[in-house]
This record gives sequence, C-alpha cells and structure tokens, in this order.
Amino acid sequence: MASPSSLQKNAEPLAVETVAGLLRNGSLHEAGRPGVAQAVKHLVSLGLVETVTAEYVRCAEHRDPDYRYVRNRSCRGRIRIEDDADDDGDGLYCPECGRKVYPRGKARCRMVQVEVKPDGVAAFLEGLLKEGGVEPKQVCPWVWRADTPRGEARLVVADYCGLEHACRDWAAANRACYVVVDAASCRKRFLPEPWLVWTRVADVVCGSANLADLLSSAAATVPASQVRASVPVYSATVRPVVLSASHQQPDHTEHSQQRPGKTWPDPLLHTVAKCWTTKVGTFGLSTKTQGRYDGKAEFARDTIQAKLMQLVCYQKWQQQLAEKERERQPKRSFEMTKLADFLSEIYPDDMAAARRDAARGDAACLKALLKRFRSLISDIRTKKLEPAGINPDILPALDIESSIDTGLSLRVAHVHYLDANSPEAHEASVDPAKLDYLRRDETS
Amino acid sequence: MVKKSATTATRQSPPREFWANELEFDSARAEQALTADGATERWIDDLTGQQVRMLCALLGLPDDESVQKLRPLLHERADELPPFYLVAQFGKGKSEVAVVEVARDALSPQLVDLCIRRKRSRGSPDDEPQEERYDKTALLFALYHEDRKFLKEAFHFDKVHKKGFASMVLAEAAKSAPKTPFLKFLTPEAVAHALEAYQRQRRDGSVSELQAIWMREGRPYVFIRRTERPDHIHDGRHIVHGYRAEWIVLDFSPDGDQVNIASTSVEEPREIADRIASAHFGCSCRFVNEERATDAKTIERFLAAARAAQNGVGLVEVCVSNSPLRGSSKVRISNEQASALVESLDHLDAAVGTMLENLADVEWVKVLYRRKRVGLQFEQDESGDGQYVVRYTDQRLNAFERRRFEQQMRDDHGITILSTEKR
Repeated sequence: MASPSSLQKNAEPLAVETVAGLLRNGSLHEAGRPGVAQAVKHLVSLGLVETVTAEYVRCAEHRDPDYRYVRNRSCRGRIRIEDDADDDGDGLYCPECGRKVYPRGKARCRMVQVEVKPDGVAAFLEGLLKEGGVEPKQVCPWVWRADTPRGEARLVVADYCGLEHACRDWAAANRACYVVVDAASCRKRFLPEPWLVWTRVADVVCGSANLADLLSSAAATVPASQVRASVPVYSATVRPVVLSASHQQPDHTEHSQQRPGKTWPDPLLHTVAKCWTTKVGTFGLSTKTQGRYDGKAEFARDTIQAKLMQLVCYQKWQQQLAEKERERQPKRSFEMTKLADFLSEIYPDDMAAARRDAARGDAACLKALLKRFRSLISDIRTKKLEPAGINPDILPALDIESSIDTGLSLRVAHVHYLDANSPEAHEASVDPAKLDYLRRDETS
Repeated sequence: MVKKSATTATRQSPPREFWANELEFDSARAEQALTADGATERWIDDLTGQQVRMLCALLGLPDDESVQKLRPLLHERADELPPFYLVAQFGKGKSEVAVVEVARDALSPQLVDLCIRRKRSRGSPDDEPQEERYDKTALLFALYHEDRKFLKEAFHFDKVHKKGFASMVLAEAAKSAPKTPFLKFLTPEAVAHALEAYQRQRRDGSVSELQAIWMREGRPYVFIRRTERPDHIHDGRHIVHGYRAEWIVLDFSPDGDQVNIASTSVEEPREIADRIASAHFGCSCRFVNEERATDAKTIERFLAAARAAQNGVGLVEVCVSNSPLRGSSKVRISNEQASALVESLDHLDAAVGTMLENLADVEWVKVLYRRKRVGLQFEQDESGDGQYVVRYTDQRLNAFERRRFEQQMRDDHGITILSTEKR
C-alpha cells in the first residue's frame, strides 16, 4: 500500500470531483474519461477502493453494424460482456429495452465499478495521522481520539459511525472532526454551523484538506451555544430515532453499549450521582439521567483515578452544602476548586517541585503535570465512565489552554453519599467505617 | 354550400399498380371486402358527418342539409363510392398532420373547413391557442378527387412526421460556390443519375428508386425507396423471396450543405446524400453527424426550469446512474404529471440526496411538451471540458412540433437540440 500522503511525482494533480465520484461505493465510471484511470490507480494504491473493470456495449450505437435493426434508437442501455461469454454473446439482453443483443462487431467501452473498502479507509486515515505526528487511538468503531497541539479531538467517519457519534451534542462535547467517504450531497447533509469541522476523504486524498490541521482546529473549536438545529416531530424523509422499549425500564444490569442513538442531555440539569466506598476500599459511582439508571463505575483502591473521583465528588458535595447554608446564611459562598488544588492533592511531590521550578521561571514541569492531569481525566471519561454507560461529561475534559487556575467540578445536578442506612448500602458493600471519609475530611 | 367540383361524373378507380406500388396499399384485398353483401351500405352508414358532407360535395349533391338527409343520397350513388372506400382504407394509420398539410396547399379553404371535426384543447396553458382537428378521411376523399398524386404526397409526408431525422452537415465546406443554385440542381434527373452511379459503385444488387421530390417551406424533400436487405413473405400458399423495402427521406437545406436523414439503414442514405452533394458542389463531399455543444451550466438552468414546469415544458421522467442512494444504484423515476414528479424528486432529494446534482450521471430526462413525453439526453463532450451535446427523441413529435420545440429550447433556454438519430 502506498503512503497515505503520496502522489506520484510528475503525475497530473487529481481532480477532486473525480476522486469524490470514485469514492462512492458501487458507482460505475467510464474508464476512458480524462483523469479516471489515474485517480483509480491512486485510490487502489492507497487501499481505499477495489475496482472491477468490465467491457460494455451500447444497445443503440450508430457506429455499430446492428444499429439498423434497433427499433428504439434512443435506447441508452449498456450491456455488460462477461469474460466467459461466447463469441456471439448469445443470451445478452439490453437491461433498458429488453432487446437481444449480439455483441460481435459492436464497439466496446470499458467501465470501472468501484467497491470502497471500509478497512482501507480506516487504515488510510490512521496512517495519515501517524504520518502527521498524531497518534490516533480508536475508542470505538469509526471513532478515534487524537491529541493535537491544541487539545484532544475525535476523528469520526460519518458514513460508518454509529448514530450517537453523529449527534450535535456528542460532536460539541467531544470536539469531533468528521470525514465523509461518499460525499454525494454532503454539503447539505451537515448542520450548517460554522464550528462543525468536516471534510471529504477526496479532499484529503487530493491534498486540499489536511487532516491533522482539521483535527487541531476541531480541538480548539467552540461550539455555538445557540443551537440552529431542531428535531422535527414529523418528517416524511427521515424516521425519528427512538430508543427501544427496554431502555424505558431501569435495568441495573444493562450495559452502556446497548444504547443506540444515545444523546446525553445536559448532566448539570438532568443527572444525579450516588457514590460510596466499599469495605475493600473501592470507590463506586452510579448515575441516573432523567430518572433513568445509566450505569455504575468502580475505581480500585488507592489509585489516582479513585482519588480524583473522590475529590470531585467531595467538592460537589461541599458545593451542595454551601448552597444549602447560603439559604440560611447568604454571606457564605463556595468557590470552585482550581486545578492547582487537585494537582496538590493527587501529585503532591510533583506539584511542589513544579511550583519551585515555576518560581524560578521554568514552567516545563508544570506543563507536563497539566498534560498528565488532562490524560488522567481523559482516561476516566473514556475508559471508566463511558463504558459504564455514564455520561462522560459529568467530568469535563480539559482543553489544551487550561491552567492551574482553571476550575474543575463534577457536572451533575446533585451528588448523594450512600451511608449504612441507605437501602443500597448492603448491595454496594458500603463500609460504614469508610462511609464518612469525606465528612471526616470536612470536620478535619 | 361548397362550390361544386367541376368533375362530378363517375370516377374510375386508379389502376392497381398505383395503389400497390405508389401507395404500398393492397387494393385487391379491400375490393374483395367490399363485395360482401351489404358491405357498401354498412360503410356508408358508418361514415361521419364530415365524410358524408364531403362525399356529397364531391359528387355534386347538396351538402348543406342535415347528415340524416344526406346519407340516403349517398346510398343512391353507392356505385360511385368504391374508390372512396379504397381511399378510406388507405388512410388508416396515416398521420392527420401530414394529410392536413397536403390538403391546405391542394384544396380550397372551404373544402378544408368542411372537415373541421371539433375544437379540442391540447392540455396546454390557457393562453396557448387551441388546435383545430380535422376529419382525415374526409380530407383524403377531397385530395383523391382533386388529384390522386396528393395521396402519394400525403403518403410520403406521413413518413416525415413519424420518423426521426439525423441532422448531418458537410465535414468540410465546399471550396468554391457552385454555378447552379442547389434548388435548381436538385431535379429528378440529377438525383436519379446520382442513384444510378451509387448502385454501380455498390454492386450488391440493391435497387434505389427515386419516388418524388417535394418542396416544403423552401426545403427540398427527396424520397427514395430502396431494397434494404433480402427477406421473404408468405403469400398464403408459398414463400415469396424478395427484399425488405426501406424509405430514405433526405431533407436538404436550400443550399445543400446540410441534410436531415430518415432511414432504416445507416451508411447507405448518407452515401447517397454525399453523392448528391458531391455532384452539386463539384468536389468530394462527406456529411457527418452535426454536433452543437452546450455548457453544463445552461443545461442545469434548463433542468431547474423544467423542474418548475416553466414555459410549458415539465419534467416527467428522470433516469440517473450513480444515484445518491447507497450502492450508487441507477434510479429511474417517472410520473404522468410534472408537478407530481417534482414532489417525488423533492422527497428523494431530502431523504437521499440531490438526484440531478451531477449532469454526467443523468442518463436521460423526459419532458412533457404538448402532452407528449420527449426524451432528452446529454452526451458529454469527449474533451471533458464540461460541454454537452443535447439530443432529443424527435420521432415523438411531428415535424411542426419538432421545429417549435427546437426553437423554444433555443430561444428560451439557449440550448440547440439535435435528434437522437445519428448516421
């Protein structure tokens, strides 16, 4: 397979529209048309397509000896000549007019039928990103996570990805950059919102779009708060995406993967969380969104992930207390905890060293620490919360421009701590001794 | 009352040779049918009002009475009617437009008006004038009565209105202007001479006969009958071997540098036209298929107008290869009503993608013109510079409609259209 970015030297530049036409699965093209052969060759070398070339004759072609016998001389039928057909091609019929056609002596043309290889598309995109110094990590089929200089972004193949990854909310929360293989009418298919980043594979192949740059701009993009799209309650074209009946009933054993077309509502308004520490020290978290159970995530004892989750839950709980107090004592307020506080709690030694270096004017350690922290959050979101069926946005991703003064908090409407009296305490093996970990912290 | 025809005496039927050879009509079979008991009476009873009045006028009978009163008069003169019976049988399947066209030139306006059947709307917009319809058989009675050669003319022009014509132009312009104008050069002798020379050259035993040269709107129409290929028929008892006859119609421009060809065979009529042109211009001439390219933007504008059913041309069928459906399957979508098709196209556009997005993928469209479905095809220029030759299925329209349609496409949309026929 050729290098994804390679194009033969001295070759004429490929016409983007020709390449876009060829990247349509099942499409049929005249091999003799200008630019087609060269584009096909290049796409095959990139592993994006496979082609079948076959000979065809026209039913009504004025240069053919049988033209005089054709009743419908306007017929545009094309008859494919099979390789194993006999000389007279007996038994060939025009697919348009049904005339029996004898191909002997008729002018032949070669047509190319294209089969797009999805695996080839995946390999091509991954290869292209690696060439550009971006290490993509596949998080689910047709979705890759990539760290760009401007932050984390997702690369999504719009043709093949699940419906949930083509939703506006998901795209906004995940800084998605979409690529389209079959680009027919794609300009009218994407939401006309300027923040939405997308391109065609044809543009990438022809070099008119740089995937790494697009990912980088997707990472830095700021989704418009004002939504220009709305879900129609009736459409004669697209059927509504309705969650199946099983999703209506809370089922605690249900796995998050069985959520086709899931679009999360704002967790700050619609999600509540419960958390606990078990007898063996595992920290547990479960959520409900709009009254429906989402899932349960567990964090092993003494891990950094568990520590961070305990901290953000504690901080959220504190915020709730502060709000309750404010009702009685309006002067009391709560300040959102800054990243610096979290870093000091989670990486105390490294943070202290980074602060010392920063005081001397060397911010490299601090930057590395922030990067480590971003990665930690990203891992919790993608490896713990998302697989468990929990909205990952309850723990917001940090962008590349975040600093130690950036605030961080658990984005849920309410957090509730299980204690020994809670009905679920036994089921969750809540350790009464460790129940008040946070409360004890508070008192201390 | 229509002025009486000068000849009211009993007319003799033309010889069988005329019916059989000139009009390709089996008069013996028709005469046989007429010998059955009461056949003539039944035929007279079945005649339309226009036909009864016309026959009365031609036979010198009063024609301004009611049809109920005139029909018995015809029964009295039944012995004079057999030739008209043959004419009526010959007229079956012939083009009304061709007969009216000949009749307008050959007959008095009063006689033509006698054949107006009824006024009927052609389903065109209200501001378009309604077309008059004529009783074709009544007109043929009058033409036959005037001169039997008019039957031959109608027979010939019937072919013009029903066949598609390939538009050909000279591959290279003649180097010097000929001394004789083409219209003066194009005599039956000159054409017969060219045909003889052509037959000598081919040496395949085929026979080409000049049948007639007629003038229409300043253009000479050359009618040639030719033995196309060996064939046989069954005459009821035996197989009779012979040739399949084909008609070649050459519609020359007044200067002779362009010709429209209607024929079954492909090379032969073009070679005959080449030979006539070569004889006229005094140098070797060769006709080639005419090609007039139009840029893609103009065609896209036309398709948008046809989709909106503007200018009396509405889109009623679309066939698209490499459609926006997954798998790029070919899609053909058709409706009898342009407005309904547009709805379907809008639905498809919204649900799947724009059907008419890429002109190169449009195999054909059909538009409704004067209640006829006319196919339009877009042949991409081989150079790939976005130019297309637009061809239409001209055999669906009669010659007058073709001229009007071509003019409308040229004037309203800036598109020169050519027939799908090629040679």
